Amino acid sequence: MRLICQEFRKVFIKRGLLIIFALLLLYEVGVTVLGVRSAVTLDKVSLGVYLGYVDRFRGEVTDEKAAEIYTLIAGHDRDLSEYNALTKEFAGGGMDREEYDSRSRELAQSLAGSDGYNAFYTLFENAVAGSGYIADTTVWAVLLKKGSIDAALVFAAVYAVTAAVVSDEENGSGRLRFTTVNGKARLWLTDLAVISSAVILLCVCSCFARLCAASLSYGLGCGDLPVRAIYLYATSGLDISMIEAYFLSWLSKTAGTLMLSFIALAVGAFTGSSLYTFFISVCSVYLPSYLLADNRWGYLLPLPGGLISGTGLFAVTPYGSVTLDENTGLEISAAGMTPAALLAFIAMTAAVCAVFVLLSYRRLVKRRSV
Amino acid sequence: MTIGLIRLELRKIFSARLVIPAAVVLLLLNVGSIVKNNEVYFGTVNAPTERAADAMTKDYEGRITQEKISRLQEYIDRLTDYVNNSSAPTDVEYYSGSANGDLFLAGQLMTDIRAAYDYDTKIDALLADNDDLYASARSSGSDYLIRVASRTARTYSERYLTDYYDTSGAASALDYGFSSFLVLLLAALMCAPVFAGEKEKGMDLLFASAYAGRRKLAFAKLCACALACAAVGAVFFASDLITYVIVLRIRGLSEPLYSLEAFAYTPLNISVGGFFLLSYALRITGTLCLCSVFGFLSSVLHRSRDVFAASLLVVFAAMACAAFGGEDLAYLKLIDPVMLLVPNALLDSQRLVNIFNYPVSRFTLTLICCLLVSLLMSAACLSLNDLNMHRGRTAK
Repeated sequence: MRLICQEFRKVFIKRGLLIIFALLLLYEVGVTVLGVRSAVTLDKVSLGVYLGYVDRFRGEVTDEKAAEIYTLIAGHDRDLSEYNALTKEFAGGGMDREEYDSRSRELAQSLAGSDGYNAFYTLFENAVAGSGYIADTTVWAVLLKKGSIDAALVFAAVYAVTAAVVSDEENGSGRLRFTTVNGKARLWLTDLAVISSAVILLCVCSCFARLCAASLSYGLGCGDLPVRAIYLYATSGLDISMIEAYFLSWLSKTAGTLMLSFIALAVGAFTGSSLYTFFISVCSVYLPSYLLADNRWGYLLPLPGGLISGTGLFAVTPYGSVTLDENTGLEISAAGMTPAALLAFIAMTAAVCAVFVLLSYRRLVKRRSV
Repeated sequence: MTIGLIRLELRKIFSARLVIPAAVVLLLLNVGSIVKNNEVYFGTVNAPTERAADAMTKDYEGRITQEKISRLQEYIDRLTDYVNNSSAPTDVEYYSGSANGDLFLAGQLMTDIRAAYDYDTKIDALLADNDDLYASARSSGSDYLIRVASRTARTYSERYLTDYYDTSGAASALDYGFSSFLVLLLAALMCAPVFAGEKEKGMDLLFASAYAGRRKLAFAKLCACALACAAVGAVFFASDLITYVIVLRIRGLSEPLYSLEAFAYTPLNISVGGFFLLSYALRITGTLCLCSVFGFLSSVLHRSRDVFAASLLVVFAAMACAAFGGEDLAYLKLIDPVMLLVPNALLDSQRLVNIFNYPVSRFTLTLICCLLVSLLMSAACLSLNDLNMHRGRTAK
């Protein structure tokens, strides 16, 4: 335990992982706030109108709700055409200014925030066509953005590995390991424990920071509704709420980041250079993601990118097959990742971990013999 | 002496253990990615249809004449008859092997030829709108809008298309941007240890007493970095072009750039081939701008690993800024070198910025701002190294 505490102190304080943590949190907050800002394209009045309609019809689309919305749409279209006709008449000299002002004022008031109405209409159309739910999923769509890899998380995890282990190899203190009074095996285990807990802590902090930033900048709102309410996941086979989906995505991210850190450990033990460890680890995440974007293999290859993107378990693949669920009658697309693939990933993580231990041990034995 | 130093520094950069293997692997991945993106031409997906489309296009490409349009229209009418009456003769040689397939392809070809034929109508509509803008600007007395309208009239007048070529291959090649990301990855790997690596090994103290002079040494290091990045960029972009020429059989390189659908309103009056050269030159310029930032980071930070991580974070931030659609970051985009790596986004239409009531092209402004930032970074890098080395000397 004392060894673990000392290693923690070394990695977090002496080697600056604490600063990286702070930077990661800042990045997560910034990215989330900017993401939400760019997702909300409506002005203040229109946003008010949009949220008013969404609150009124929130939840599953029923026949009564649909009928009410169709009446609303008809009324709005009528007002709009009346307003246009009035404007045309006024422009053609058919009425004087005073009459136009008095007649158009009321219509203009009911048509204020038209963009909000249009946004709600699109939401309703999407709900009828796919998800079946009316909800303002702006924030959740940002939090559960499909296939995006959290760059800061990747960098922080690899940094943690290089700071904990590879730097020792570089500055020569790795050689001291086999003379340690604690025993070399215990030191390797300590490294693994420190790295694993640092990575899990990183993932928890990043997940919590994003949730807080989203909540404070816009509000979380309808997290209890099914993930299918997000238009992008309208044909997802998993019947879970958005909060549960976010938790699942966090689990997947944590597993992926752990896998990445073990790959970085193995590469670090092999190359003995933190620069090369960084380069190869980053390539192992980003290159498959770029090359296999929108492809199921992007999730199924035993590499960390698919897991770190976090949405593989419920994200639908664009070219995957669509089947009809007999119980619910809903269309379901093949998910990027299956539970079997997840198990394979866990096995892969264990294998990489074993490779790391083996490589490190071999290097150690070589040194002792020298 | 500086040339000799640059040569030595270049050798040092390329003799690093991982640089050459990484460059080779990434180059292969790049070629593989292009081939995978265009696998239709390799006989795996719909190859017969694509070949039939190629053969049909070849018969109708070149100068657009009324005779060609009539001939194609007649062919479409004949095929429509066959399909409607289910009376397609079997002894006729179809491009795609069937009347149905030919009808689909001929319809698409007709749409494309018509679009090229009607291009001047589209431009006339734009110029008519521009005339309205000019008139309203004159009446409101807005100098800026008058200048905008005059500039638009100068840019778009005398534009018409006389020939038709299938330019989808060229459009696809110009759209491809994965190689730029790979070049930046390699640039970060090569630049990271240039100054920081010396600090890690304690060699920076020796530079103060270098025979060549500490300033020359730092300058040579920076030049070597730039040359290495430019060389890698040139190799990757050349591989892009060669692979695309082999894979997609790019045609119509001498056609005006506005013959490409995505560039119908481009302000440039150059050929497609010319734009290829310009695009690759701009990408290399963007890489060099980022290279100066990497050099600066290398002289500020003390570990190659930190420099590499910081460099990649800069790249990702710049990519996110370039991809951000809102107007919030419009001014930040002016100093974003990644914008030069995606020149299509800057040059596909006329984008003007109001500078003291004068309309200036956003592209020109971005290029100037990025070069200024790059010069600033290089100067900061050189002076920082000078300072560090001077400190080293006094410490000695």
